[in-house]
Amino acid sequence: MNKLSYTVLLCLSIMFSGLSYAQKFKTEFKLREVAKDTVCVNMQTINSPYDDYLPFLIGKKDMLFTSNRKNTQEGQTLQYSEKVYWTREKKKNDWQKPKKNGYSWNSDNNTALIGIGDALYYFYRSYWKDNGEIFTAERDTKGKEPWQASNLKKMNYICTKYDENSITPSNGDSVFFVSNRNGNYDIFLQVGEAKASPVEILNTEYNENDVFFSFANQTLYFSSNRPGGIGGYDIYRAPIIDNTFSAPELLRDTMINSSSDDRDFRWYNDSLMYLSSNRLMGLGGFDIYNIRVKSRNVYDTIITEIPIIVDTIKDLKGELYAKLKELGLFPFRGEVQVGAYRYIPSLDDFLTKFPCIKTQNIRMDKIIVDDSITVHKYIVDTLYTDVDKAVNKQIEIEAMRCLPDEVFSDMPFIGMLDKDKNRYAIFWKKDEFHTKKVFYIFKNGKQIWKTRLF
Amino acid sequence: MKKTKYILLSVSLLLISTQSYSQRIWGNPVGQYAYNPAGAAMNDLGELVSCFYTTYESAINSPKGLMLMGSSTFPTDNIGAGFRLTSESGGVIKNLMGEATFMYRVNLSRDTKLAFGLSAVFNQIGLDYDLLTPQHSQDPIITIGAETGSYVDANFGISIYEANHFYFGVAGYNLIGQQTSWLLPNFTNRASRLISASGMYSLNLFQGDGKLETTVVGMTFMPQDDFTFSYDASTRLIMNKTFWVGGGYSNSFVKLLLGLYIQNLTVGYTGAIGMGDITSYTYAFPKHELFLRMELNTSSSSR
Repeated sequence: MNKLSYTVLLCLSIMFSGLSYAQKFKTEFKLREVAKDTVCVNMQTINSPYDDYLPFLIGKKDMLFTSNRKNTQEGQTLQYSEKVYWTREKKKNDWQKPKKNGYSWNSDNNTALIGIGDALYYFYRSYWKDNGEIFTAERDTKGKEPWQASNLKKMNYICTKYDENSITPSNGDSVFFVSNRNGNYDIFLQVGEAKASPVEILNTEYNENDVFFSFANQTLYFSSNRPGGIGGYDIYRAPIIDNTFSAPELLRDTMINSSSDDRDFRWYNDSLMYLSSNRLMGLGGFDIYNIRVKSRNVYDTIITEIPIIVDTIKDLKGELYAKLKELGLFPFRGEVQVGAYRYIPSLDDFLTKFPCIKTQNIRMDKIIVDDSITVHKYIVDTLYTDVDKAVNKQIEIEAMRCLPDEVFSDMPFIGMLDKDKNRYAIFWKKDEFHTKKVFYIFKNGKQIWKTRLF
Repeated sequence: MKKTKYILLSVSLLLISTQSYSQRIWGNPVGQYAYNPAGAAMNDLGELVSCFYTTYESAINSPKGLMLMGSSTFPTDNIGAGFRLTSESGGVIKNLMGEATFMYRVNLSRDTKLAFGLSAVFNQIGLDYDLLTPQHSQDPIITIGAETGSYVDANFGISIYEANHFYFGVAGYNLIGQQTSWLLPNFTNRASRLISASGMYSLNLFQGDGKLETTVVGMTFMPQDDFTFSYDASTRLIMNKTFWVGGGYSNSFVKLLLGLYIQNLTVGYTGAIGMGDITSYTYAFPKHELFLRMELNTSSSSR
């Protein structure tokens, strides 16, 4: 009996030791973001067959914009002059019919709302041809309606005999505004009431216009018809880092910039933006568009604990090594890429999203795909000259299990270039690798070879 | 000689007491500024208005007149200026009037403004010597030109309005009541003060494709023992901001109004026929008035 008991106990021990090994392959369900889609919606309930532009959100539900739509009350001469209108969101993406604001805002001549600050509205008014002037009005934040304003005053220290037609408050008591005092429309910085100075890093010999400063991401957005864009006026961004502008960059998203004129870009957060454009499919003239970025989420099964046998890869001087040699990839130069994303635009954002990777020395490279789409690549900042070390790093990162691996571009892989600038990648498919140890080689995005490691 | 003097004295008194030549009611929609200094630059546009009229009342004494009027705002929204020139004659009498106006206005509510206008006025009154046949060659009218003269005065008006929608205002003309004594050294006379009230209301029709605009003007002299009142009421239907037809009634005359809008130009015609007793003394279709307005849009869009 005792012998039998010991035998049973031994069998159970062996059995449970096997079970405990199997429990390492536990799974859990986790919500995972797999893609983001940019959607561009024509705001048809507020747009007209005429020009509708300069959208400004006030709070979450009110929008002010400018339009030169036909005015029933005024005579032929002034019926298409621009005026400021107000609308309110009734329910999600459903806006009230716009109402024209009164004389606190509009004159019978052209009037446009060109900027909003915490305490002030900024208006464009024109009494003489090509001599638009900027006025301020104090916001009545306690008023019944968001458009209430008073004490209209001309900004004498900005206005000249030239045309000033766009303004945005910035940090402290500074504002950026647009003027054609130097010939073409340029962006100027005004600090207090001192003399304004052009912002040379942003200006070109072409027009820069429609300034909008986002305090949240310390970035100035503007439009320009400079060469190198997608067509007509395009929208550019220039972040401020350490009180200095970075060189402006074109927004590559084709939902934002089109071959038509794209202006008045408003960035409120990553998933809420507005612009005006005379692109095709509009109601006529400039229309206001709502840009939304939607995330598509799926539930996925992630193996959170698996046996990783890094030290089993002791020698790759087999088929893989020979193939790399055949492909002209020796002497070996490779980097381990850990992800490529359109909407993770900085290293900080990447490390915030995938904190486990902080233990690695990661850098970000920016590339343009298909001539228009900006992609941010995150790479281990080491150039490997040894295939084994590169593969081990690849496996080490994969073993962290904190990176998405649904699509090829999100998998850690080894990137290489041959002398003809062909792009090669060594990667594996997650489940297949863990069971069969299969490696793939891709050339310029197409699979050309695969092998087993052992 | 004596007879001629009395005739001329009577004519001069009539002229000065009525001032009808420098402040008349126009048949066309000339705008409130013609009746009220506060009506200058009502819709922020610079504008020039000219109006010519003639009335065939008799073979040689048909009154006729020409008005040139302009106004504009300054780049502050609250301040405007205007001018008005009229040249009129009725028989032997000629009148030239020049008016310069300063206008200030404030916003009363979301869409309504209150405007004040103050004008300085220069009046020159004379005679058409070609039509003059004095009985005596030594008549003072020939030898010293005794019936010509000029004076300056002031007008003031107040108006509440929403541009292109409605207005109502009252104005006082010849407020100083300037003393005039041109004919005889010891004779004293004063220009009569004139009170004018004018109003307009415009109603949108056909979902904005049409407008029905009704205008009323009334004038009287103050103080005056013999109360006289001139008035005009007219209504016009404006279609597609392109043309108008309308009608009206004014002191024994029935009016027909026609006009065209061609971009920033407005061309109008008003004809009137007499009603009642006046038909015995005039031609069947005696009154004609032509009107031309040019709007000067100096504003440009932010785009």
